[in-house]
Amino acid sequence: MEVSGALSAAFLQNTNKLPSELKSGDVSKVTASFSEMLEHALNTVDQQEKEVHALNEQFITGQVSDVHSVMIAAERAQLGLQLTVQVRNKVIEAYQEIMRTQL
Amino acid sequence: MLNVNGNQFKLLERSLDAANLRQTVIANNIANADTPYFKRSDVQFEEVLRKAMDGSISKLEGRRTDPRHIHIGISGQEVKPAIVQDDSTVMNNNLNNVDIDMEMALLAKNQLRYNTIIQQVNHEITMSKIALEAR
Amino acid sequence: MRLTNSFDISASALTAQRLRMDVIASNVANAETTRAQLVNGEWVPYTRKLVVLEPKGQSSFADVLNGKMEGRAGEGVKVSRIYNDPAPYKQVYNPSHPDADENGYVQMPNVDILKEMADMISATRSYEANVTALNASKAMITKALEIGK
Repeated sequence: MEVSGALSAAFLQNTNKLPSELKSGDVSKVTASFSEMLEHALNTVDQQEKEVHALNEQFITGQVSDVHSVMIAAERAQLGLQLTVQVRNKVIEAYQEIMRTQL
Repeated sequence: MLNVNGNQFKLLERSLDAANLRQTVIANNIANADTPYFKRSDVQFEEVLRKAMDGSISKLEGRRTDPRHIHIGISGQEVKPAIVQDDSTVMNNNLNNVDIDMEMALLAKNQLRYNTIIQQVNHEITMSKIALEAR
Repeated sequence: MRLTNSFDISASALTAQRLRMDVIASNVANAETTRAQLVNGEWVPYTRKLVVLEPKGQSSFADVLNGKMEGRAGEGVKVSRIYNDPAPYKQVYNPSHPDADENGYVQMPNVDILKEMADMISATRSYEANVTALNASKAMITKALEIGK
């Protein structure tokens, strides 16, 4: 999925790290990598939204005249944000699951 | 905090206003395509806005103590769509300078720009809704 | 600025062009009418009629000044008057016609069919252009109603 290739790559990297960190029983490291990943995702989305705003301004002032670049940038930002929100939800679910098993 | 209250959104709204005004002006040009001595009009907004945003227009602004005072200089916030009359060309014998084919092309172009900007407005609203996880 | 301003402008143009078509149709229908009206006890042939188009909302200096100062777009077009063409009647040689004068000439209406046809095409094209403008305005407002859906 080209939309957030960097994001999914970061995600996979972090999940591959999981078993070793779980074995060592270090939960804080797991949550730290998740928070890193989330921060990276948010930065990506922020970037994409800034790009959308810049393209909007260029379209309104007439410097950019093709509609498709504006539309594609908007869709990319929207999908990026949706993915981030879903990942956040899953991360929180996973965290709560982990917290439950310890009790 | 929400992007629908921000400056980008205001910019989109103002360009929608300009497109609306342009639609009215083009409709008037088309309606008067046969009227003798009629001169067509245009709406100027995009170029003025670009110059204001680039900063190439002097930022010196006159101070107004009464709302009836005339603006001297403009600031980026004050760019308004302006109707100008085009006295340059003459199309036919009765001194009417409306070229109906050009007006139809401008009409289509304006409509498409309007639709695109509406799409962007929808995008801003959708982004807010996703972040708030509203349905 | 009213919501349906551009509708009113296009509608005024449709009315004006339709009136122009009616006048053209009347001219074409009466192209051979030698006894249109009785003037001083004598029959006078049909006189060609013309319309004068004028932009609406520009009839006085105050209107024009206010319009320019407030940056208003203009309000469409109207037919200000229908007047008779002052061109002379055509003299056609036709001694057997009941309206022939002593030299055998009949006064026919000053209607040139070809000119009327050209006017008719122009009026039709204007009418279609204004219908397109009306549809464009309607489509824009419909699109705006879908914001946030």
